[in-house]
Amino acid sequence: MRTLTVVLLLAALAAGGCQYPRDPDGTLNRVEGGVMRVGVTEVDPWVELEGDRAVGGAEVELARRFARELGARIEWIQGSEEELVDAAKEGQVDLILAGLTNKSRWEKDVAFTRPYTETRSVVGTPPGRSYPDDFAGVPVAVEIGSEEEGLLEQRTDARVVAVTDLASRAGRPAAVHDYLLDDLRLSDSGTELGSAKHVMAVKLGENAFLVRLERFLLDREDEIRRLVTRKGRP
Amino acid sequence: MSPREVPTREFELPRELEEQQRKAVRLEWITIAYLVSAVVLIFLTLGQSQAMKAAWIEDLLSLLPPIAFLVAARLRKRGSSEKFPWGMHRSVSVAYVFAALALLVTGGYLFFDSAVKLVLAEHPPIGVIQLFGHEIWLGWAMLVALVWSAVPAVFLGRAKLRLADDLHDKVLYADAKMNKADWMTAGAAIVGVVGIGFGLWWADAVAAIFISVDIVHDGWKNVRAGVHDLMDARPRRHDAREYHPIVERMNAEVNGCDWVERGAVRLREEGHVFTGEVMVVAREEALADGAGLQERLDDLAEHLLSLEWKVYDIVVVPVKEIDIPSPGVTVGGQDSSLSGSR
Repeated sequence: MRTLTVVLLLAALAAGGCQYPRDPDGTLNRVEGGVMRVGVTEVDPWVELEGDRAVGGAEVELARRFARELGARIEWIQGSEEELVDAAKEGQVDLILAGLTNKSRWEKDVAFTRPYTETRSVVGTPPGRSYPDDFAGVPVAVEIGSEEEGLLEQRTDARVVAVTDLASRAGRPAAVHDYLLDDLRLSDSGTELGSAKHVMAVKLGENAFLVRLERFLLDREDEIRRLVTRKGRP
Repeated sequence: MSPREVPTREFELPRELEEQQRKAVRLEWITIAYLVSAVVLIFLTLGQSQAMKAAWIEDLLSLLPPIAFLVAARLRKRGSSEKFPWGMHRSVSVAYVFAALALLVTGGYLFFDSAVKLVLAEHPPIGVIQLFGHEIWLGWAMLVALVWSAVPAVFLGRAKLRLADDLHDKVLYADAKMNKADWMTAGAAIVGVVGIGFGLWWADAVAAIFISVDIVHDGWKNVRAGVHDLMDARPRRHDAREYHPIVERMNAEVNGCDWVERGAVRLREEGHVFTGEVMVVAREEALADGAGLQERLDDLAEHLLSLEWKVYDIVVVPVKEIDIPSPGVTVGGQDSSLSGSR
């Protein structure tokens, strides 16, 4: 019981005064007014690269705004997911942008933010037209070699039409991410193939930095939604 | 020479203790309800961090002793049947082993989990959650859940210790120790979460290791005592600290009878109660008087049963010689429990 009192006192002290929670490695203090090293790997529509430079994508845009809030300059570091995770573990990357979801296998190696947005894969259909629930025999377009191609085959009886460019089939049924529906002049048929909750990642245990980033993201749900839809243009 | 069996009693516990027993049953139901609430609350705040996991698994395991107690409380009173000629008193001993094992596993798990955390230098991430439209640091929510998993456990454990003393109930005793383990692990996790807030990632692992040693010690002591009970070891007090005095007392009574040449008592624990045999070598004169001997054996059994409520069922057998130790009796200047007797 005595320990408990001491602990609660300490907690109250900490909350009243200085930064709490704190980073074991001081990431937030270093980044504020300094340099934020952001690891990026190309994932459409989240991260778009030109050479080694990040030029666009929803996550890149968010990282820029976050850096502005912290008064930090961004140093882009390009690499594969695994390279970036390993670098973050060693404290060489502060923030990873790789279109990660909360189902990612790196859960034990890096700390994820809370999901900042959710996307769904759906069968989109032209507005005003109705189809059977299982799309039996209906030709449905899907990007070749994508996860959706497999899901479409498994979950519906549609005639799968694998294409390289969905834009050429705008206005006809297609299995796509929900943020592409408007561009393809389609509406959600209600048939969902899958969903994903998107997260960013930081070094494990850097809780002050993590909390700051999460607060930043959670305050901007609508803004993020617009960013994704805009950047989703194929 | 036929063994004479004394009819078993209707009630396992004396009437005033039945009331205590009902209290204990009520307490265990409260414990289960409370633990379920703590388990749910901690699960909701678990997050991605490993820091709370030990406290959670610990709370799950501490459901075992109360469940074991309640199951045994139902079974123990069942009378003897063809399948279970001795009745089901021993269900309490089995429950005790279960409860003690839960304690030992808890301690062991906590120790290894914390050691691994230290060796791998795991830095637990604790972010924010959204609660009623507000974003708060998950650490604060964790602390609330942990305090809920600690404070009531202190009072439950104390109440159980008191009842365990009255009832001489080992399951209840092990469960009280489990509640102690509960609030101590929660305490360690609190230190851990607060420490993590200060950027001290190793705080909870270190606190947990110290606590786990204490829990393992309690667990080991109780598992040993429980297994000894199942192996019919000489009865001990409910906290296993020393032998129960009843065997020595009965030995003294038996050997004090004027018609007894030598006697030995052998008792085993069957849950709350003791059962066993009393062997007597009768003196020549008593043996000659056949009908009188039968009478004396009966009286002796009645008398021994009246000594202590825990002695539930004994058989008094006349024998030619005795080959078991009888503690508390000196034969030829030596305690026979040390020498054996043949």
